Amino acid sequence: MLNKLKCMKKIVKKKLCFTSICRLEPAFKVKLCILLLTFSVATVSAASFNSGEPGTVSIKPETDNYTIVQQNIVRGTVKDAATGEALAGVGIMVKGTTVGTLTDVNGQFSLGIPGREAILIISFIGYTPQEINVTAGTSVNVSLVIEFTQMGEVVVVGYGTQKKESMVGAITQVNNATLVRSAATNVTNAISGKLSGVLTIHQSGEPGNDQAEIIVRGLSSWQGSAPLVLVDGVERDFRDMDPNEISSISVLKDASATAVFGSKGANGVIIVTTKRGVLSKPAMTFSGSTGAQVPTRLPSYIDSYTTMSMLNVARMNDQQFTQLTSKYALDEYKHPSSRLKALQYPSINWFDECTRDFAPTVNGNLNVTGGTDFVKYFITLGYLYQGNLFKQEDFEGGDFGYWYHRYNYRANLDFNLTKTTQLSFNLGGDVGIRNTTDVSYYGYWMSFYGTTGTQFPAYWPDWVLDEIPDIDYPDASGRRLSTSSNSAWFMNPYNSLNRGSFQRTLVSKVFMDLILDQKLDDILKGLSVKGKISTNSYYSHRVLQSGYNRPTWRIIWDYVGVDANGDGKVDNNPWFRDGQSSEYYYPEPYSQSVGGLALPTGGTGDTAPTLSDSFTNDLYWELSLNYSNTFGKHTVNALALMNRQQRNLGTQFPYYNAAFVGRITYDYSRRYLMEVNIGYTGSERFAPSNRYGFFPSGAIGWVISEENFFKNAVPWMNKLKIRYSDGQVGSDYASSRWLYTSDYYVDNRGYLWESASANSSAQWEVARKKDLGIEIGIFKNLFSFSVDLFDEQRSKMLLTPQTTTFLIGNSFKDLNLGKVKKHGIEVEVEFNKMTAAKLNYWIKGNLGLNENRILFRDDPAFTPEYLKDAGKPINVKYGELTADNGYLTSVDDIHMTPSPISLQTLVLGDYKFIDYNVDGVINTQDRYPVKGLTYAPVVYAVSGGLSWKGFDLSLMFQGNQGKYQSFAPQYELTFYKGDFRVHSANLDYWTPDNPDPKAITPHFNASDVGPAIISWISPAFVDHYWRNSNYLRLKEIYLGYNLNSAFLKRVANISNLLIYANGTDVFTFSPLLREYDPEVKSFGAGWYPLLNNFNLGVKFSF
Amino acid sequence: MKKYIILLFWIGLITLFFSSCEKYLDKAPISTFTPEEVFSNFGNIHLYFDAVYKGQPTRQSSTNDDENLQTSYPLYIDGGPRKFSIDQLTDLTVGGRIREDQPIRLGTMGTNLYIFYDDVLQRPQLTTMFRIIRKCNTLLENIGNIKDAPTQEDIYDLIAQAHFVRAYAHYDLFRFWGPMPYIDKVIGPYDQWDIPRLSKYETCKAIANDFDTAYTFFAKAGKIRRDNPTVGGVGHLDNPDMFRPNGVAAKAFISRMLLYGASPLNNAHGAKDWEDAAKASWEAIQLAEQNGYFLLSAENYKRNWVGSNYSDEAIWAYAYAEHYGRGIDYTNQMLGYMLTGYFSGRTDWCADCPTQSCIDRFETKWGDALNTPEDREAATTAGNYNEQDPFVNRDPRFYIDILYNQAPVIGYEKANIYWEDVGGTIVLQDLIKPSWVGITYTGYFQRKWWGDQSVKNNIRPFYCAPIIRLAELYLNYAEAANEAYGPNAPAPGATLTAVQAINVIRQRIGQADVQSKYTGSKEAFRDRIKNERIVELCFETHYFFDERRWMDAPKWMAAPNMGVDIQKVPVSAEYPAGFKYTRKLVQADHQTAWKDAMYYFPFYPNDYFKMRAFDMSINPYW
Repeated sequence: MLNKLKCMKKIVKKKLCFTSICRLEPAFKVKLCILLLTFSVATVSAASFNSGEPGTVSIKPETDNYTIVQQNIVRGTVKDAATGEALAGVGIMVKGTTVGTLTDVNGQFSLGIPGREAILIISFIGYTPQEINVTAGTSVNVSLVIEFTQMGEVVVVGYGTQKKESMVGAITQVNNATLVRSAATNVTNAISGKLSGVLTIHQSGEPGNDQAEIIVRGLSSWQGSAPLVLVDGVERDFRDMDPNEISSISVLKDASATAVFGSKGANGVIIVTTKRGVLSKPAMTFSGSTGAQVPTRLPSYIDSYTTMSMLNVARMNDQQFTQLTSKYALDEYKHPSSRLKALQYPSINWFDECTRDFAPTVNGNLNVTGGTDFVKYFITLGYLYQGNLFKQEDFEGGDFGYWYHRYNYRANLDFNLTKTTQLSFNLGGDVGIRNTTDVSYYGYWMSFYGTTGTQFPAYWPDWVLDEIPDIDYPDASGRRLSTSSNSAWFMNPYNSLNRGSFQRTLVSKVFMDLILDQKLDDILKGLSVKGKISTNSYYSHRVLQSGYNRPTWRIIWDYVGVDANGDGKVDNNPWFRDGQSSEYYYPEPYSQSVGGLALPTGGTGDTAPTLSDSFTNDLYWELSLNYSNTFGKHTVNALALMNRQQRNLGTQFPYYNAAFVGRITYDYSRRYLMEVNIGYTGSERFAPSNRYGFFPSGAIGWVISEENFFKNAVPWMNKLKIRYSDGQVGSDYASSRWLYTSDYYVDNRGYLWESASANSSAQWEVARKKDLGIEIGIFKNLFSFSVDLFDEQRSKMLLTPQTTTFLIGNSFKDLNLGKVKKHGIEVEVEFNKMTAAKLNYWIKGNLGLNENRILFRDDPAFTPEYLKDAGKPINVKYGELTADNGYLTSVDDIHMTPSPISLQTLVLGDYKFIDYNVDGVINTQDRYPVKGLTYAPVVYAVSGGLSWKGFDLSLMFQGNQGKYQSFAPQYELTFYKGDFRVHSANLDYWTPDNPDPKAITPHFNASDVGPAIISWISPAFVDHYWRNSNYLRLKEIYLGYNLNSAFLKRVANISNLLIYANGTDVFTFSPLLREYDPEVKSFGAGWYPLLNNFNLGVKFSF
Repeated sequence: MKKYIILLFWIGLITLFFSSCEKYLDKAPISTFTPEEVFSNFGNIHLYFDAVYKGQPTRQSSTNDDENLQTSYPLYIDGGPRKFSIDQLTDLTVGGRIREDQPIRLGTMGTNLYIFYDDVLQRPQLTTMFRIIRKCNTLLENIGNIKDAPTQEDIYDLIAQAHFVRAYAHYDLFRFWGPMPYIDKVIGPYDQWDIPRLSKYETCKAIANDFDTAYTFFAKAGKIRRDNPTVGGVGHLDNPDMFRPNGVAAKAFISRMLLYGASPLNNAHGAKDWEDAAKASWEAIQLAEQNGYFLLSAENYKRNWVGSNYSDEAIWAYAYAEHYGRGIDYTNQMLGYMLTGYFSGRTDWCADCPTQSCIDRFETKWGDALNTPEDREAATTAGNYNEQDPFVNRDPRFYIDILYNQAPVIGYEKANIYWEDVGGTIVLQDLIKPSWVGITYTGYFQRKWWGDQSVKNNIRPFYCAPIIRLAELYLNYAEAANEAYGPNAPAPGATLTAVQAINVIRQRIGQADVQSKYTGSKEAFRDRIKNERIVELCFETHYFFDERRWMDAPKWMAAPNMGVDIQKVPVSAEYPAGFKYTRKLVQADHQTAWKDAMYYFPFYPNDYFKMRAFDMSINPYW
């Protein structure tokens, strides 16, 4: 009892201590801090009390030894094995008890042990834990080894972990320390460049919606190539996770690693593992950062004078001589004679009018980790704020901007129920609140990049009402919104941002696991059985919205100041409200309303659930039998597992999956390695007879450097390992579900129709993958090198047959017809040097190259070779190319050159196309497979850094090669859809004096599709719509200073303080036009600009 | 003990897990139906088959979008949101707006093919007809599974309709895309998908044979006619099944198919083919008249199209008002395709404007031909025609079919299609004022399908679109009999000569008999038969196919398209009507052109790569 009281006192004291730190540190939001700490400490203390329950091995008051504890002291020092520096804050625990301590700033500790001898567990985040036997009264020196060095590193594989040294599959992994260095606001961007063979494509900078697309080893199917993503072994969406809660992200690439996922592993597997508690005193880490986001690239501003001058050229080209802009107007555009004229003849830079210099971000994370004999815990709370890039007016208190708040939470608890039974409970998730201007209507982003700056001002400043009074509303004052548009396609983007409508969405994800692990050593040593139940739910709710529309006004300039009848008043009111009627206008009061469940927009069971699904939940069961044992030099691991998954997506019929998995790994003396995997998975898509697919794989490895002859012959090479894997993985991805059933459906009028005809023999798509890997380490890993060569043959790929003729009168469900081959190489190189002056510097690089070819895609038999999909990469684009120097330069040219449009509409300076099949006409069959892919075949990264006395600097360059982008017509054409707008791509246009330009002579056509010549062009028109976007960018920069001062430790009990600054996408080299970001796949109707991140942060541990 | 309890627990859990394993993935939704459920139930099989008349398989949100037989019916093609008629693809009429029809009539199909191919918003006939053929074949293969048909006759009726519809779908494909293989079975995933075409004549013959099979089953089912043929009798023309074809229609279509087969474009056996066509046409006329079909009187002539859902002349027809969802705005829909927005107060409409050559095909009321300058010269000399007062004393059908300058219009008094010089300023009347979209560029509008409704005469008349009507059978007979036996000899077993058959059509409307100068020879009379057919069946989607099967299209399409310029002038001896009529060329972008590829529609580029047995060279890309 006495002891218990003391325990409590201790805790209370500690609590006070923590809160006092918060007060000392004014940089923090004190309230939040207290709240979080209270919560965490309460959890910890609850756990501590639990550990005092009878039946667990802890210090029991009724047993002896209270005094002895005081006498049996062990002292020691903990250092970093590599640098020799003292480590502060390292957890020291007596195994089997709750007794423990932390090292001080000098890495020293002293600890009372319950007996004469004990086993100490020494653990520190980022290092491999150690156990040592100690005797009372002695002093020990411990060297901890950093986890990311190769020795002893554990790699997460499917349904388990393996030691890296005995691994035979192609797996690459990134750990927490590397992840948290990134300034990216989304974890999917933080892995960019850090995993060989992984392509990430960032698409948008919209707060809360800025995740990257991830592709492993390139495209491998036309049905979608997204990899399977697992979080703690269950299929989950990881993009909104806080990097601080992630222990590692592991990417499984070859057959031996992915075969256990059977049907789902064909496109690679990404396994995200969250952090777990270790046996130690509670260790608490707080990190916080604030930063700014700046658009990476924005189109350059082209003034109205240039635009309208080019419009005159275009109008003359199109014989619209009566509609030329006058010299007077052009002069006013160039130098407005008054501030009113500057509104009448505006020259607007929409990016200036609409965007701020930067968008703010705030990031915070607090986590507590530790463990006792009974429970180990990792608890974290995270917060992210992304602010608005856009300037928006304050109107009636509404909040129309873009912003995103995200709260991440996680508690991972492992309870040792008995000596052999462990119960784990994980609860994690996030709550995101996203606010967006209501841009759901068509063309908003297109307007942002494309609306003319020549026709109306962004808004009417306050003074306009003074100079031009509104006769109908004499009391009116202040700023007024201006005309919303002058065409059906392009709106005033300032209005769109300020019209008063917005949507606020709350998105919540909850992941839960309950795992029971029972050791069965009594039955067979090394045997254990594990059961797991997991649920995920995804929920999206429109919490607040407004569809308000503020009035917009135009000024009829002809009425301004006109007083024909001489009564001293202007005759007609120049102010005209859009939609004006004769009735007096009272603005409707501003209103906003709570919304409903966000409507589901697609999403299938084949891809990870996305936020667009209003409500998704799934239930996952897993039962496995594990065996792990070592007999002398033989180490055997075995796994038998079965699982089931039921996924409910909105109102769709539930998706079902089931699998049986087996694996045996064998290791002889860490020299000869072998692995056999089996995946046996079932899919609802196939008839019962074809339902289950059997996917075997095997791998062998030989660690030559462990052989004595090698050690003798090549002593400087500390590592040489050769591994080879071969096997099958599957995919059931198809364009519809239940391929084996033929059915009849009811149309909108109640009649019955036959749906696509069934394919009763449909079965699994099979990917045969081979991978040869070589790993080399030289001079004790001063220099390390690994290379993977891979080859993949996909067959029986499901595809909708293309050779069906119209005679059939129906279509067929997918048939197993397609074939694709793919091969590639991945290289990782690292050089890591520690100098005598304790300067550590390193440089490393990775390169992934892959190439795929369609072998068969059911091309119609008589298709010309160049139009067949077979023999070409997946997603190849068919486009056209210009002939000669690209343009029609003479009347002869116009008459002699075939053109897709009639020659009456052609003018000099129009495109001159190549008649690819030489049939005298230019038509769609002259489109041929053009060079370049939107998914770059070559991805590389080079990074380097140095650390010295607490300073830490690193840089990472990342690049794509062979990448192309397609431009939507509005960025390539002049005056697209009648909008008075040119882009920088148009400026260097053909004239007789400029015979070697980059752009067609200007055209103006107000119709939907623009000039006739343009309407015909495909999205892959080389060098115009289809542009090379190779890039190399400084993806990440990081500078940190680690302060380990005794002063801090003494005053604030802070064991470690880190101050850092980091940034992403700092600068970019690319042949692409300067104003477009080369990373995105295409420029369609517009996009939220991609953003750089710059952060300043601090992190400290207690 | 404890460890055994744990072991038992796990064994139990595993057993539980496996026990439900077998069925875990056998779950599939029950919102759709199995073939057994569809074909064993008579009600379901009707829902399955009637889709060919009214269904919408791709479930478009707009109820106006059809993918069924309606897409081929005359009024569907010409009405609705489609904004141009099949006639506008020919030299017969010109669109009041430049739309997709214009490149097609100029010989550039280009991407406009989607309109007829597979765009459900338009007239997706290629995909729809093959889908329908598959439906008919599926029904015929499953007909034995029906368990609860009320009577055997109901089964026969279904079989008859399946054969009829299958034949009709092939016919529709034949007329647009040329010869076809005759698809009489369901094509499966492992069958040959590239099937050789029959010859042109064989295609017609195969279609006619299937119609004949349909007739046999219609007869067995007692569905030679679907309503009570007694005039005014109960249910007359009011039978809910009127939208379905009947036995007479089957025979009538045999007449049309054999006539098509005998025509110059498709003829395989010379006069023999014409003889067969004449025989079939005579049989069809006999069968129709025995079953109470008759030519409507002159007073009721217009009810063939406007004023009723069905008529006793229409053997098989499409009641426009019966169409799903069209009840509310069909008046506007009708106005929308053939008259300027002036009458509807709208600015987004199109107009269907007959060319001068169409107008010239309407004879004087005494039967003088006006087709050529020589014809008009002769008529003028005879005192029967005046180019400056051209709209008096014409064939009575002229006043029904054509909206001409000064034609009476309810609510507007007269159609003013002219311009006037007022003190040096040109003043355009509303019907040619460009501010109304869809004005006439020829000086005429078509009136046949118009019920005189307008913003000033807000009525909503019924429309009947005859798919085949009795008058056509007389014309078919006359054309075939003239070719086989000359103008003045009846076909064996028939009681009418070709000339008499033509005069039957003219007498019913009050037009004079064909003048004897035209009936001297087969060749001379052939032109008058063609002219008669164009006038009687104008704007009923025959012209496009007729000028092709006659192989007159190269001549007619290449000829300049003319219209008339009408200036209001004081009444004088020279201008007795007070208007000056000057023939003029329609502007260049409203002209037609011809190349032989235009005999048939092409296919999508990708389809050319799929087939060789199916001879794609018949349909060159244009």
